[in-house]
Amino acid sequence: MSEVRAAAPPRRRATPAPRGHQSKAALVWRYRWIYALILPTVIYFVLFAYLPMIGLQIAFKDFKVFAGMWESPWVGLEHFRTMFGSEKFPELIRNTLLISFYRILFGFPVPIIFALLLNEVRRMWFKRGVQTVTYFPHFLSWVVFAGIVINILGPTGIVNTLLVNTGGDRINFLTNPDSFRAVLVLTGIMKEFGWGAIIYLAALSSIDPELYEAARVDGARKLRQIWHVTLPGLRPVMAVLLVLSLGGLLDAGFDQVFQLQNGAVLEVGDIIDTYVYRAGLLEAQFELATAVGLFKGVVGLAMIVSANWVLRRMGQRSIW
Amino acid sequence: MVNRRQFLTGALLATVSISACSGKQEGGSSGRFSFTYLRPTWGPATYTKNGPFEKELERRAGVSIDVQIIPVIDYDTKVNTILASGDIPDVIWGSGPTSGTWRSAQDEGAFLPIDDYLDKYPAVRKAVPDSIWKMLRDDKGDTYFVPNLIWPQVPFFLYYRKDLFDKAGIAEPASLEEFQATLEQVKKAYPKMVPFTMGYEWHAKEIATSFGTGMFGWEPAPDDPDTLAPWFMKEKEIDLYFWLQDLHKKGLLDPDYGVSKEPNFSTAKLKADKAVMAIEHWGAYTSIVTELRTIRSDGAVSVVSPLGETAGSRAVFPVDRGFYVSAKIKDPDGFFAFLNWTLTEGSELRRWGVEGKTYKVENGTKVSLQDAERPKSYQGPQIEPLGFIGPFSEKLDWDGMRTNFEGAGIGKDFDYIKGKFDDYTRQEYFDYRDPTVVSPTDAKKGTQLFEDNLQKVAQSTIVNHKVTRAEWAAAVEKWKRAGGNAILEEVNSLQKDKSKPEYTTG
Repeated sequence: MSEVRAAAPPRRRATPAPRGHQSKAALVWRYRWIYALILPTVIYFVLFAYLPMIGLQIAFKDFKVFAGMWESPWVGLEHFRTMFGSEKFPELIRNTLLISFYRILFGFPVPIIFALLLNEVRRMWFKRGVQTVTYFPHFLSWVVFAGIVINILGPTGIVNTLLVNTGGDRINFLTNPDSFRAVLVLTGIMKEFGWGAIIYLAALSSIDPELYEAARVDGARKLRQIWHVTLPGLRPVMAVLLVLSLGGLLDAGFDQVFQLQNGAVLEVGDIIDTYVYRAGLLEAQFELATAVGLFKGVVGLAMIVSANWVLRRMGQRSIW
Repeated sequence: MVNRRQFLTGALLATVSISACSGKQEGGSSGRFSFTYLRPTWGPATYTKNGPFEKELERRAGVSIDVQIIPVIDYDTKVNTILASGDIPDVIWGSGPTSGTWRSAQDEGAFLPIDDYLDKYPAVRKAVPDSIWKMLRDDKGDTYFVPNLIWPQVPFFLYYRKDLFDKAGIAEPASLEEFQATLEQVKKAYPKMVPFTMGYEWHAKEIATSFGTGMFGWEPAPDDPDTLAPWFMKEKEIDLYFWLQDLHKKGLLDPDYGVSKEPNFSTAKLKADKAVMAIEHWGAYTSIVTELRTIRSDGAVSVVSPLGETAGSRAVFPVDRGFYVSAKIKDPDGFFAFLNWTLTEGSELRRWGVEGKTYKVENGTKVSLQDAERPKSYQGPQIEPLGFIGPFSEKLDWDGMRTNFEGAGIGKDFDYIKGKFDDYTRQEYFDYRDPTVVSPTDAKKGTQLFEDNLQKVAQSTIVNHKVTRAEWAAAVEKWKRAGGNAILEEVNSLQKDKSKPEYTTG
């Protein structure tokens, strides 16, 4: 019997293609209302994310507004040559990468730490109060928030007024190239850390309380519990957010930099986006702006794919 | 750009207007015609559609205007995006053919050629001097752009707090050297106040004349009068930048200079009793004095006379933007008939507005009301969006200004300010480059060349004390090598007439 079984051809588990299609179609039909629910999202992305990509062609064209995108003549890589050939390009790349890198290095842990601290608060009114206060700056535009920053740190802001009135010297927080990037990173963290903590708080609430109980039984105190239970519980979320943040490495925060930048700090604060705004958008050079956008998108995609691959290799949860 | 806020408070108060007593449609077009209209606003962007002023204007003119406004500071960016969509309003403000972007849209057939309509509606043609119409024609002789004219003499006065000067026994300076010494005295006498403030580089254009140059303009090179050189190559202008850097370094120039994004912060400080000296548009005197007195009833403001023998005023090209009519407008006749009406039968309405709302009559003379005296729905922000063009002859209206001074309760100061205006404009400096002559290299990559090579020195020198003259010279050399030489050559070869411009004679 066993010989017969061994001689028999292996059983094909996969169903024949036509039957498979049928069953998939049947499955789709069966769950049609679920698919209907997701349809608006799919339409949204097709309309607003994928179809506009047709416009990327102007990165390779001499765009004539009134002749239209399709009638504009092709110019090959001219706009990319303009961008990469710019005298300022190395400086712009350096500033953009450094500011983004500092944001990740110093900004990434802050919402995690804040969420951990907030998670330990037992008085709900206090916890909610702190949450509201820390979320609020997220809803302010950078125009408003930068105004507040200038009123606090500017040459005649609150801090300098206090310093001067108490006999000290004025500190040029915003006009000193040595401190400007730190100001960008710190104010960026201040504005967003509360909002950034939401996802970690959600992840914290999904950690099984029995794990804490078990840790306590084993004699683990608060810090040990955080180290051995909470942080491992947050690790998948942290990994995903880190990967996503790497995708925006070439987005150093146009709104913020544009609002806080001034002539004295151009060397350290001029980023790709502010340059494209001045040389591209203000002069209606949409081709150049599109070429830069495409370049940033490609780099961002490469960063996400690489980081995701590294995470998978490290055995961490990845995006796909 | 020239800060025109004060022009708009004076001239605009007198710009578009309504007459409540008339119930009859006066518009030049027979039917009610609608058009969409996009324009910048220099005042606060608080316009509300269908206010009483707008309704009255529409009723009397027989039109329906769908206005969209964009604050002037964002206008160029946003309008470029609107242009890029290819779907433009019927009437759209822009920089005109002096800008590569607009010229290219014009060449692509986006706008209506208007010569036929100028012939048909003579008040529109007459509102603009022939010399300006001529400059705006394209190489085929067609006109597309209706310019917004400004008076070319727009001196920025150096205002000072006379009460504080008198109290500390400080005399009005008469030269650049004295000015710097005066600032030292002011700093010592009033350590908690800003000795001297200005909003941005352009505010220093009259100070530049004390160095013997017209700021931000091309001028004949000292060694060759037939060759024009741009501002950043002029030694005297570079001197100005480093002189201002020195003031900034010594704490004599406002530390907020170059940091504050609010263009009117300097005037606000003078009005708020926080600065002793400030540069501002000559037409700002009434608002400075009246607002200062709400804080310091004994506050007095005077104007420093031009500093030194070479000092005077830098005149400007008398066009500050303007508008195009879309090639797709349904009824171009309707629009030009309306425009003609605003300059003829509707002229009084345009200039003065509604009696009791935007002006009052005193001893038989119309006096514009300040915004504070008007109902909210008749204040500048509700009127400015409905403005189009005014004739050149109205751009410097001394009689109207005198009544405005009287209306503000400072009529006795009018002759003093007019005298200062004459002092400043006695000696004029110009930009010798004809803005309508376009250098192809400049149009194609002028901005990038500037951004890549000169932006740092041009934007940083005053506030970044590490920038040196050698760096400035090196930046200019880099610019020249990278393509600047081609721009210099093209401008000088394409512009045949390099004589001193003359704008005021028309």
